Amino acid sequence: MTELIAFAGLAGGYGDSQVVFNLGASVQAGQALGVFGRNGVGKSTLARLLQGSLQASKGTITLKGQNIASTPPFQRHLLGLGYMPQTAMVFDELTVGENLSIGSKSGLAEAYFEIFPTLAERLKQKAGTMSGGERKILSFVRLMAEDTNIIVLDEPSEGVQPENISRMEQCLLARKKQGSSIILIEQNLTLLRAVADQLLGMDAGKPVLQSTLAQTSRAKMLEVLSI
Amino acid sequence: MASIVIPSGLLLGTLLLIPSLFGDFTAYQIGLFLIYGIVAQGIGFLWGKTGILPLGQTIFFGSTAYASAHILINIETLGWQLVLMLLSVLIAGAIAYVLATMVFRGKTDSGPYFSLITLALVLIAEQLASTSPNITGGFNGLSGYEPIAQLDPFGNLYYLIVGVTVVSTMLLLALNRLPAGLIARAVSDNEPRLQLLGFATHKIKGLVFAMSAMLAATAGVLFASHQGIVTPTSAGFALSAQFIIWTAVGGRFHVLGPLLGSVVLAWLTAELRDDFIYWEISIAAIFILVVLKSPGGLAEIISIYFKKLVKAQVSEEPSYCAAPNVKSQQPAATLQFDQCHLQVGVVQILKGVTFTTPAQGVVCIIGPNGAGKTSLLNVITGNLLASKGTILLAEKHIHCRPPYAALSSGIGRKLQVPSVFFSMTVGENLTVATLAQRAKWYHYFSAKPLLWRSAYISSLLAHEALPLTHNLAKQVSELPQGHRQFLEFAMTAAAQPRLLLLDEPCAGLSTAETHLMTDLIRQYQTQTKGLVLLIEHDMSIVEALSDKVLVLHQGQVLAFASYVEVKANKDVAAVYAGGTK
Repeated sequence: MTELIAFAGLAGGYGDSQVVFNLGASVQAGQALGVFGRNGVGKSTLARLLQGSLQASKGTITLKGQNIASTPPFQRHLLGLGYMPQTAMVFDELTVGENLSIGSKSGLAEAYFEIFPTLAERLKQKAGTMSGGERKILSFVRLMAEDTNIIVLDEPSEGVQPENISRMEQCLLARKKQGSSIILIEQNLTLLRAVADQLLGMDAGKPVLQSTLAQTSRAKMLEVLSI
Repeated sequence: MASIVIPSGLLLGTLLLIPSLFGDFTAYQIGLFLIYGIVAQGIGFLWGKTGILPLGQTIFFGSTAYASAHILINIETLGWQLVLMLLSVLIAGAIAYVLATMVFRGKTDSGPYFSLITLALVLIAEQLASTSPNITGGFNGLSGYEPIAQLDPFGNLYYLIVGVTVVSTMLLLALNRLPAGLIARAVSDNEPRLQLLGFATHKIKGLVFAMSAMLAATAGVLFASHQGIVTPTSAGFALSAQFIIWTAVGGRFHVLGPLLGSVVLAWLTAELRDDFIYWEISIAAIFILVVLKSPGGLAEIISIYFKKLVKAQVSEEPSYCAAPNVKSQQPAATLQFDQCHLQVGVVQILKGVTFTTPAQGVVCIIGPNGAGKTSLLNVITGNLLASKGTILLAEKHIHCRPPYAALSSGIGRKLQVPSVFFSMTVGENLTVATLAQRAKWYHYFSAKPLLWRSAYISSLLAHEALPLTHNLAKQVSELPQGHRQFLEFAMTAAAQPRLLLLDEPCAGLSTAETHLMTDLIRQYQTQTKGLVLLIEHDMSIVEALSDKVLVLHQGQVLAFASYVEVKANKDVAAVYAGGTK
């Protein structure tokens, strides 16, 4: 199998405060890495380091074999890395349809309308008038429609109703089948366990559990969350 | 106190030495630059704290300069001269207050529109000054009068200017360290949150704008005496633009920054303009460089080097004191929706919502994404206005009130995406929330309320597991999303509202944190015996917390019953299955 994304010895933070230390993992095509841990342990910082909006102070990030540690975010995207931030980022003044047409591959968004029919009903509605959960779904579908084969998601299920979380799960499993690599940061252990093949548990910015899903029970994950 | 007296003393000492060190002419020049510096200090406070960028401060500077010239020409008694000059300064402040409150009423930002209005007004003022020779002397201006108290501009007038400069500096330094300064900072940081904490932000902005206008007007009074002539340029846009450049280059976030920028740049301009033809271009380049590379200006650069030289003192845990009770603790009350409709643009969000809650307990609101759950809370707090129907709390209409009136009606609101003051520390956030509904106007000008700690916040912080307890000095921008949820909850509950609205408070929390949050919510309800309205998707939380469940679907009430009844309801099951993390 091909390794699509890998990082090693990764460290970074904000200004003088170092938030994550010595993180490493690699994700093969068609595989998913699930990242979990309590709030404040550095999960979103890891996502931002991978996406490039935050520069790593140490370590390497390789995308399809190419070191991208100092590559700006837009170039990482051109190399095939898609990112969904924790707070849904949509263009409030644009309609749902216009939001989905930005950066997405022609016709791909429409394929998701069957799964998320509310989006199809609201194509002409301004994204700014949608609810928090709907904005999250719009942000998720736009990421799916970008057709990048390395996908980093930061808590996509936050604020989303359970039925839609199951639909997100279906979409992510389908993308794995198509050969995409996924890095999923989640507090929702049900979604995380349904999607991930490997797990990275974090505490205080450091890895405290690295294993395959098969070897890690839910109880073990809860143990990491209650450190 | 030392943080006010030491810089003011150093400033006073330095300025007093100038005439003897550099002579009367240099002191005369510095006097003019200090007058400009006073205007810039007012701009710096307004722009740096509240985010409002005024492009027309010469309206106040120029008009009071003209008024002073008229006073000096027509009034002979010094006492009357001073009274009328003071009156002109107060009128400038009153006009500024009325203008800003009118423009900012009903808004949650300081957008470019206010800057554009001040720009338009200064262009009108300049035009009027040039075309009204009977009042302003036209292009030639007003001249031929004695300075105030016949103080020599090349002699004693300098000391009066120094005095006013030091007083202005002390005033602004003091404000920075008082609750008033903290609230002004909160305006530019997160105005919607400040409104939900019960602060009428348009009035706060009006007051800060009035203060900056009065500083500009005071400088205008001094300018008329110092220059002996007032022309339309003193009320014009070119000088206004220079004030902005000097403020930005000096540093708008520090009281001494705008003063430094004005003196340094105006002095360099006076020295180099005639000999160096590219001087104006150089000033423009410096301005661009500062805006891009050092938004805090010269003051920021100096303070970075100063901090490297002087070792930071380890700050001790402040000794907090008991906060007074909230102004009026209202009794628990029912919330009643009657045929409430909400339309935003072409989208009909709520369609005849009708229900009545009990006065006490926890009501969980569930429903698919887009059902109208958050909008329901928005119409309660006045963030959105219901297009039809009525909403009553304790049988009083609440649906036409602005968001800043919600808390005084006993309604506290936590938003879906945690909304806190990001540029402040956790402790400062809690202080702002503690001031809400407790502080009277005079408390904002006393340092003691900064150390208020309510019994409820103390009890919250006593939870060892609460991710705020050991992070009080931490900047909120460094706080993860989940911890911000706890902070916003604490801020919302600080005033002990009888109706607490919580929009997905457990989103993004781990299992252990979710347990802590649900415990805190239940404790709050038990303690206050009030009503909590909670939006939640996780059915295990709904089961654990709810006394009643309100199910919304496509903007309508699908069910309003106990958890067990809702769970058994087939209509609910058809649209919303629910789940757990």
